[in-house]
Amino acid sequence: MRSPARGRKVTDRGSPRIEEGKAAVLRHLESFARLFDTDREILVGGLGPPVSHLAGHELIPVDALLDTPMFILSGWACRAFSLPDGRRQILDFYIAGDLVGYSSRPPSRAKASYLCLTNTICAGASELIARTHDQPQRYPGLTAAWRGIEDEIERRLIDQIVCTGRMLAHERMMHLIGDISRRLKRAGMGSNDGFVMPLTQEALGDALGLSTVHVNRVLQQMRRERIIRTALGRVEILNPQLAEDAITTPH
Amino acid sequence: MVIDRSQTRLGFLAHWYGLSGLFGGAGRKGGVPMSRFYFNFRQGASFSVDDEGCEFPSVEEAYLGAVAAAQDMWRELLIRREDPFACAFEVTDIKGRELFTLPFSELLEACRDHSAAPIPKPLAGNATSSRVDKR
Repeated sequence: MRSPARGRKVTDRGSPRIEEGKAAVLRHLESFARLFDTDREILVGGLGPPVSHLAGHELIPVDALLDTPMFILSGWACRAFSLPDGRRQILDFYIAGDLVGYSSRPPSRAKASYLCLTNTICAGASELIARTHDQPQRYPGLTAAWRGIEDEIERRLIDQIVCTGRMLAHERMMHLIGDISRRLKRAGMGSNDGFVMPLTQEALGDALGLSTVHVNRVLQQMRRERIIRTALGRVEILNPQLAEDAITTPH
Repeated sequence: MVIDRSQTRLGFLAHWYGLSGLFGGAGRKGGVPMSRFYFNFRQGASFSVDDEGCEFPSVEEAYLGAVAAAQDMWRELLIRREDPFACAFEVTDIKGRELFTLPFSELLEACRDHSAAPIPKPLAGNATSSRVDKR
């Protein structure tokens, strides 16, 4: 059986992209809990080697054991469920700093598959998580962070149900853009000048439950109304209040 | 006016970067060459030009894409109390040549073609007064 996390090992481990990714991991974890010196020490040495995957690669197939959690260091991934006729629902996006495929309830299995939407670099977190689970008192910050991450995954799933079930198309889009902007800022990868969002109209449609042409229409309408500005993979929110208002659940 | 989008800055840059989708130009998907189609939207007297476009492998797929979007948009138009019958997609290729027009009314016509059941006639008076009469 092939390893779900199979990919190409990155030889240039000190590249700025990987260092930025590790910094994003740290910021992500710190957003959930205060990290102590012991937490930081194990984090420095406990991450697996960086492994690169091409866009379209399936990191974890549906029904696979969730025993290979990994941090995204760069690139975008998603959790998606496909129907037999090819229709697909994207349930969540994962950006740099995010933990993919984690469950605190072994032997859990993946209820949906985890896919790379762009070329992606990941670092295994199995050993790191196992060591902190073995000695929770020694690593209180990380132990709290794992709980926080699971909590956030559940919150984002609820967000996604409310978004696709009850919101109008432009509200769904604004909700998604606002949420991604907030998460990228948390990871230190977004700014008020905008952020990189390398998603196709098809991926946006699969996440928002809209057809590709409708996604195109909504984006154009938002540009015309000067709510957002887009250019070559970058999105800038021109009306941040509207973006904040569209995020309905408390964070 | 015919707009040759292959000559626009965005079209050129998108093609250069080989991007597809949100900011993209013509590319390939699963080995299938994709073409870019522009879904200009007419609603009554207003007309909005699609300056981004969407990729599809053929005109037939682009037509199905327009149908799917019209189905999505139908419900939202009704919620906003706007008439879907006044709406249409006018689809062009990258050279600005008109390929087809999809009036939203065509969606209903497609349903009627396949429906054997007669369309129920509305009751005399509105629904509220009918309920009041019964009481």
